[in-house]
Amino acid sequence: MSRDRSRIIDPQTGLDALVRELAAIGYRVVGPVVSEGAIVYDDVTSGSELPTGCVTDQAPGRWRLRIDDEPTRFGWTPGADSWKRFLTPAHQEVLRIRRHDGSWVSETPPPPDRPLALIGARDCELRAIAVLDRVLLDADQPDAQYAGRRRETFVVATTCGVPSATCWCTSIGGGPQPHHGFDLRLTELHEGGHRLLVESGSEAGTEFLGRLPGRLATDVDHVTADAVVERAVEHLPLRLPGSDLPALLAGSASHPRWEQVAQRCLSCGNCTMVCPTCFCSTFDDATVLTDDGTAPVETVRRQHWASCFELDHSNLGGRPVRATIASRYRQWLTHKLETWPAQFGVTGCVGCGRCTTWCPAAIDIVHEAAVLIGVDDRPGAGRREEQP
Amino acid sequence: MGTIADPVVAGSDPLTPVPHRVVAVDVETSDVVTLTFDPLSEALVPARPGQFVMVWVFGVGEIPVSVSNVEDAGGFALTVRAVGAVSNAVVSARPGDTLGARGPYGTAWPIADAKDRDVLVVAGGLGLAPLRTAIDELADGGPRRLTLVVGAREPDQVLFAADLRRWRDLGVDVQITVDAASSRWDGAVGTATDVVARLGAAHDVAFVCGPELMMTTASRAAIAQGTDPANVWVSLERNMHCGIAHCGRCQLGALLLCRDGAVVRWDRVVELLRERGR
Amino acid sequence: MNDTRIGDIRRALGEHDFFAAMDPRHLDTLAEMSRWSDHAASSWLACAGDAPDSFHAIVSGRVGIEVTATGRAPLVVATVHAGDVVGWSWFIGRQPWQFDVVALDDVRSIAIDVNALLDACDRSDDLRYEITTRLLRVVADRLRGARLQLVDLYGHDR
Repeated sequence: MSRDRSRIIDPQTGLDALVRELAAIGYRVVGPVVSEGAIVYDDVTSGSELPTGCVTDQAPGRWRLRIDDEPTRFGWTPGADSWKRFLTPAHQEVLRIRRHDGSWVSETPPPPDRPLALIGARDCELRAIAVLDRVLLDADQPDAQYAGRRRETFVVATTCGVPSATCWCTSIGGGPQPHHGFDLRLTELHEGGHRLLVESGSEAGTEFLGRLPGRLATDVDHVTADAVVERAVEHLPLRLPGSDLPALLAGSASHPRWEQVAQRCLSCGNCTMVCPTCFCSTFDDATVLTDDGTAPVETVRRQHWASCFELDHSNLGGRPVRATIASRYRQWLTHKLETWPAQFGVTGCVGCGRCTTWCPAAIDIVHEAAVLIGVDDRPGAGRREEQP
Repeated sequence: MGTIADPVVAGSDPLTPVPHRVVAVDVETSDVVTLTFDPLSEALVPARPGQFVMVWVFGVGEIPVSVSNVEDAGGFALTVRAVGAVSNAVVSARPGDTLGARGPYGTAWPIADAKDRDVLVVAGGLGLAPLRTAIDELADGGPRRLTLVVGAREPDQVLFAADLRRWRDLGVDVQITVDAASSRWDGAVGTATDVVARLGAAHDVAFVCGPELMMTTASRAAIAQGTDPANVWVSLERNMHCGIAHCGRCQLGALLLCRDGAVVRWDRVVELLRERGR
Repeated sequence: MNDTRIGDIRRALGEHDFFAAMDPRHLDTLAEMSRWSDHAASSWLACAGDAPDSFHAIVSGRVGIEVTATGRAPLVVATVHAGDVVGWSWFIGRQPWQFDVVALDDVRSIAIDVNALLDACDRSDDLRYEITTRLLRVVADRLRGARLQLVDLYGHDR
């Protein structure tokens, strides 16, 4: 990052200015807030609404938030929420069709009046948005609703200074510091004074930088930021050979592990809801009848999040194809790690660890994949090339 | 992040059903009906053999149906079996009713592969419907030899009797078999796979469509007689829910069947079909 | 039976799929215990319960294996075509015919005397082996077909 495209801002007043200025130029600003003991993404009107002093503790089946004395702004890792809730809402109207003259007329909802500005997006989340872009925008028939919400999104990313125990992004093409997909990148620095390094990643970002109070970043600031990233990488040992997973999982369909994990899996679908790349959905038509209730006059087609763990997600002739939990868990894991790249040309998993954290049975997708491909996934166990 | 170019123009949303009028209803069997449609104004792109559309009944819902005939000026026919709420509503449509359709979607039977070659077509039950336009094209010339094996449950469940006669008259070797019949039935009684096994000749290309178990056994029988697995094509479906690769529900392994199917090459799916609950 | 007729039968046996690749000496033996058998359409080659005297190698026409349950119309559950054989219950403990066998067209078959054949098998292990493996294949094909018909695939297809 060249020095002209980086500044140092105050962790309090700088973020205040960031949120204020984005709103002033017409963005709907969405960022992390603390709500009922969790960190969720919500509309924010001021930088003071963003978390201060939050520290999170994650493990398979566990997520805890505590407030620390230190006024850190990004010393936490994301919760169950992901940005997909704003780009592909859990429930949305896609079409409204009204009877007219022996036929019908149809309307699609207008795109949002304000583009989104996302505050505090992590590298895994940016890669997840890129995956959704590939699935929903690069399709032969682009998703109109997604396209409308995705227009002109302004992304303020943040470096992860404190990865969680369930993060494993470095195994699958990611890392604590985002390199693509953002307009501005924040890195929280402590050594030499608590401050935020802001770096531009686009023309829009460079232009916006001028609106923020603060000073130019120096070499010392950049070196300090590099150290933050290095320390974070130490917390992210490689656990799986991410890019080889499709080939390694290819022969696993009748592995006994599927039945074993099915003993624990509740088929609750939490993993698919918290996963930032899961896009499966269901459409239904809700009909409004005439006043006397005799005939339909209007149909509203809605799209809802769906999950491959639902029994009727796959069916043939009205009966489920994946009738057992083992077959549905296999669909989930093999889609995410094996077949997604063949379908869309990008990985389906970004290594964020949410599915592991939010699984009530504490099932760890990394460990399951490791068993299926026959490697040891414990940190320090070595790379696959070193295995016999 | 910058601007995403070209947001979709309002009104051209790919989920919008295009109005079509029912112009004819032909009862094929006790629960199967063929509806012929004409566009009200906007026409769909003509379906290639094997493609499907999403047909919509106002106030009821949408289902995927293979196109069983293509006419001039955007007209087409759908052959539908009544099994649920939407298909029952479709099957109850009368001439003059307006239904919605969007598409066509999916892959097509590779008719070009059949030129000057020995072709085997195996159709089981309702599987004859997605093959009908393919057989029409093939019977018109192209293959050196064309054999059509049709399997059904009972004689009165055999579809398109008039077409079968017409194809026979055009020189197609049409062999019909049912699961059970009275002794008055002049076709065979037994599985379509048995008929294929009895043909005693290798074919260059095979198109197979019907219940998955039937497609599996018939494809294996054709391959056992010498057909190259890379020249056997089957039609697979899962829950074609949106038809446009957005909802993720039609997946079979790495295939999104609304986009990469329904017509797929046998050797690409043979392992997937062996896995239970895939 | 005169020599010309035996010669016809011997040739027909050699050309019949069921006996394909059988040692010519066995075919000579079989020809001695075979005769031509003609059946008009709708006549029976055998009825359920009949004593097993012969089994039939179908040469032309189609034969239906028919099941009749009281109060229900007879149903053909399998068609046997030229090149195939009908009747194998005789081989397993000389059991009587299990089903009705009706000629669907005018049928010509080679009827083979099962008692003579079983005696010949007693004298020749090799002939016994050849007949056993061929009948086993027939039974396997019928079973495979029957199982697929049983699951009523078309009752729940797309």
